[in-house]
Amino acid sequence: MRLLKNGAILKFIVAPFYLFCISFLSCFSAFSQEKIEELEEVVVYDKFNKITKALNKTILTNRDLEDLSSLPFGEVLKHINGVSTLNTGNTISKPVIHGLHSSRVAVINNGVRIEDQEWGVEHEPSLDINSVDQIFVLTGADKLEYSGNSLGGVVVTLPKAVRESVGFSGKTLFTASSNGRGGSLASKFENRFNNDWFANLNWTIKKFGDFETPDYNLSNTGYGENNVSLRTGKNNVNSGIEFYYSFFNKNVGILKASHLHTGEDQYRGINSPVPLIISEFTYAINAPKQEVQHHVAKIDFYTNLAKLGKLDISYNYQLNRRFEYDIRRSSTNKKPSIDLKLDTHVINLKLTSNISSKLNTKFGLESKFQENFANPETGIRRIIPDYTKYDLTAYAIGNLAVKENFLFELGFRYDHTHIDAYKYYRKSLWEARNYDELYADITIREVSSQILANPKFNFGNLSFSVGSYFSLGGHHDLYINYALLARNPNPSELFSEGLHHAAARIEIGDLSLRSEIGRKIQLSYKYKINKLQASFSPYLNDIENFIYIIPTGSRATIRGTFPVWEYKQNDAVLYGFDYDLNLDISENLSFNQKISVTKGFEKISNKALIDIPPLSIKNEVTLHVAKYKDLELTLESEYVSRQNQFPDNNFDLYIPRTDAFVLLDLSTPPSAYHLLHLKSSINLNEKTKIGLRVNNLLNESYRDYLNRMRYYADDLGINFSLFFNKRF
Amino acid sequence: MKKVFFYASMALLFVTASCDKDDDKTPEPVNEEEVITTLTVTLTPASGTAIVLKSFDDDGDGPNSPVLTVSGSLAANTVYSGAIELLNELESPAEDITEEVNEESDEHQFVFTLSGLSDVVIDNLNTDTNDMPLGTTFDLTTVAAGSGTVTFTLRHEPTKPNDGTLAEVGGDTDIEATFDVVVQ
Repeated sequence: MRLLKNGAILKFIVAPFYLFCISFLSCFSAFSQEKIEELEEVVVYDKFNKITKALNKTILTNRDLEDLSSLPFGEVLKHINGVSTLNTGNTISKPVIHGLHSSRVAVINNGVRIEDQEWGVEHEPSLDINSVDQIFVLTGADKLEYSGNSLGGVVVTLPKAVRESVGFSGKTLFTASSNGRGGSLASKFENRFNNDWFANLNWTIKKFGDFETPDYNLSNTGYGENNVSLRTGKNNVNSGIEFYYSFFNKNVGILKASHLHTGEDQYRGINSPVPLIISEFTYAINAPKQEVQHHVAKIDFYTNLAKLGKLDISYNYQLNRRFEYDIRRSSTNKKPSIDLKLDTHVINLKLTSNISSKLNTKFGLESKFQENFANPETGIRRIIPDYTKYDLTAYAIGNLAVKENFLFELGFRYDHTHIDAYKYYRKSLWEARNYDELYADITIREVSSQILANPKFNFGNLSFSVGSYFSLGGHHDLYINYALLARNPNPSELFSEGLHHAAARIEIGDLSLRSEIGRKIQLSYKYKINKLQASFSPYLNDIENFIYIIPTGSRATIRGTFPVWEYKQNDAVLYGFDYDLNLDISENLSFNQKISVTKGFEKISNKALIDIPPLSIKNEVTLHVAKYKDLELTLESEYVSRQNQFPDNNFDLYIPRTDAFVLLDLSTPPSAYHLLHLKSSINLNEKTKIGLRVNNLLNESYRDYLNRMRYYADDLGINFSLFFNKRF
Repeated sequence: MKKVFFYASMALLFVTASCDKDDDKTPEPVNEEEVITTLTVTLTPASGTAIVLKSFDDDGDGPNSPVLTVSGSLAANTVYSGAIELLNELESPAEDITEEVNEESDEHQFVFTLSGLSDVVIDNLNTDTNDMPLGTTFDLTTVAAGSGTVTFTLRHEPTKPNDGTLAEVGGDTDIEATFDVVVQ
C-alpha cells in the first residue's frame, strides 16, 4: 500500500478505460444491427446454469420467503445452512457466512451490490425481503462477477422474473405477530402489456413496538419499515431495457439499557441480571435509534449479438443515508450523532457468450465512484471521514464441460481501488501514534488542536477462483473450489478514532493496515437416492493479514474510564463444515437435519477469533398432507451450543472513586440453548394460504453469543405469527 | 439501437466528468457539542480563601488523561459552600455547560462519594424543577483532620427520588472526577 500525493495516476488509468468502453460499445452497435439467430447453445447454457445453481447449494425460494415476509432480511438468511447472523437485538441482523461478516460479505440485489456502510457490526444490509424472490450464496467462480473482496461469501438476491405472458397478477402478504405486537403488509403487482413492456411494483410496510423476553419488556426495540420498488422495461428474446428503482427506509430502536456512557456503566449493565431500564410496552421509538434510507436507481440494457453473445450494459446509482441518534446531554438536542451520506455510481458492461456447446464465458468491466459525506452539523466528531473512492474492475469467467460428468470453471478479477480521504485527527492521537513522523506529508493544516490529514491509498488486487464439478456416477456428486480473494481495509479499520457510543468503547484504526488475502478451499459432496439427499461441505479459509479489533488497554477521560480497542492484523485460519440431510420417511412425512460447524483461530498465537458462530444443529419433522388443503405442519428443534472457543477480552477497569479494579467481562459466552418452533399452513384455495408460526414455543429464556445485546438482556420469548398470503 | 449506445456513451462521459472534479474543498471541522473539558469545584468557607478542585481534559476522549489539581487543604470544623462549574474550553469563549445542566435539572444529578473521610458531610444540595436534589451547589462540612478522596459524578437521566447513592441514582455517567483531599 502506498500513500499518494495526488490522484494523477488514477486519472491516467480512468481515461483510457472509458475510451476503451466507448469504442467497445460503438463496435457492438454495428453488430447488433444484424439479424439474430436463435442459438442452439442456449440449451447448453441453461444446463450449465442449472448445474451451477445446484452447486451454489443454497437456495431460498419464493415459497420459503413468503412465510418469512415480516422478518428483517438478515433473519431470513439465517435459514440457509452455513449462514448465521450478527445481531444488535432481534431487529438489526447482518449475515455471517462461514464465520465472516461485514465488509467480507457482499449482498447483491437485482445485480446491484448494496453499498451501505456495511463495515459496522450494527449496520444491516439495506434490503427489503419482500422485493426478493430467490436467494443464493455463491461459492463458485461466478462470485467474481460481483465481488473480488468477499472473503466470507456473496449473497445474491433476485427479484421475481418478469411475466412472460400478457396480463396482470399479484400477491398480498400479511403477517401479524404477538411479540412486538405488530406486523407487516406487503403487496406485489406484476403486469405485462401487449407490446413487450412490463411493470412490477412491490411495497412493504412493517411496524412493531417493543419486543419482549419471557420475563420482561425490551424497552425501545420497536421498528418500522417502509419500502417500495418498481421495475419496468421492455424485453423480448433479442434485447431488453429495464429501469429499476427501490427505496428502503427503516427506523429502528436500540435497547435503551444497552446505551451506556462509560466503562463503569457498562460494567453495571453487564452485571445486572435484568436490563438497567425496563419500561412499559410502547410503539414509540426514541434515542438511541437508527434511521436508514437507501435509494437504488438502475438502468439496464441488454442485447443478443450474433456470434458474440449477450451484452449487458447497466448504470446504477445508490444513495444511502444513515442517521444514528444517541441520548444527548441536552434533551432539546434532537440532532443525530451520526449523519452519513454515501453516494455510489456504478457503470458496468458484461458480455456473456456461448463459445461452443461446451464452453461459455463471461467478461465484464466495471467502474465505480463513491463519495462519503459525514455531516459536521451533528456536533460530534465524525466516526467515518469524508472520502471519495474509485474502483475499476475487469473480470473473466469461463465454464467448460470437459465431459458430460466433468465441468471445469475458472475466473479472474482485477480491482484497482483509489481512496482519497479527508480526516481530522486529534493532535494528541496523531502524535501518540507517531503519525506526525510517519505521515507528515499528508498533513494539510492544524485547526484548534486537530490535524486535517489527506490520506490517499491505492490498492490493486487480483483474485481468482477455480473449480470443478464431478458426477461420480449414480448418486454421488462432488464439487471442489479454490479461491483467492483480497480485501482492502475499510474506512472504519483505517480511520476510526474515538468513542463509539453504541459500544461504550474507544476504537482506534490504523493507517498502515494492508489488504487481507484469503485463500479458501471448499468441497461439496452430495449424495442422492430416491428418498434421501445429503450434502457435506467442508471448507478451509486461510487468511493472511486478517483484520480484527481487540482490546489493548483502558483510557481515563473526564467522562470516566473506557476500554480501548484497536484494529490489528494477523494471519488467521477459519474452517468448518455444513451438513444437510433430507429424508422422506413416508409419503406425508419428511425429516431434515442441518449442522453447521465453524472454527476460527489466529495462526501464531492460536487464540480463538471473536464472534465465531458456535455449533448449531437443526432438526425438522414435516407432515405434509396434499389432499387435506395442502396442510403442512413442521416442528423444528434448534440447538445452539455454548461457544467454548473465544478470545479472553476481559478487562480490569480501574475505578478511581473506589480506588479498585472491576472485571469487565466482555468475553464469557452465554450458555447453550435449545428452542422449539412450530410452523403450520393450509391452502384455503388455490390462491389463498394461511398459516401460523410459533417461535420459541416453550418460551425459553436464552442469550445468543452473536447478539450484541446479550450482555444486557435476554433474547425473545414466545412469538405467535399469523400469516395470510393471497395471490390474485 | 444506435441511439441507445449513444446515450450509454453519454452516461459514461457524464460519470467520468463527475468523477474528475477537483477536490479543493476540504471538510470543515466539527464543532463538538458534547464535550466537557473542565470540571471546577469551588469550596468557599465563610472566611478565608476558597479551595478549588479542578479536572481538565484538553482532548475529550483522546489519549491525554485528565489533569487533576487541588489548590490546597481543607480546614477542619469548617462549613464550605460548594459550587460546580462545567466548561467546554475548546470553544472560545469557553462554553458554560453548567447552564445546560441547570436548565434540564430534572434530568441530571450530581452524586458525591467520599472515601476515607467518614465524618465529612455533603448536604443542602440545590434542587431541580421538581424539588429533587440536583447538586450543582451544595454545602460541605468538615469535622476532624484526615485524608481521603471525594468523587463528583454527574448522572444523566437519573431515577429520582433516590437516596443519593450511585446504585440508586442509576442513569448514565456524563462526567466523573475523583480528587485527593486533605483536611487539617
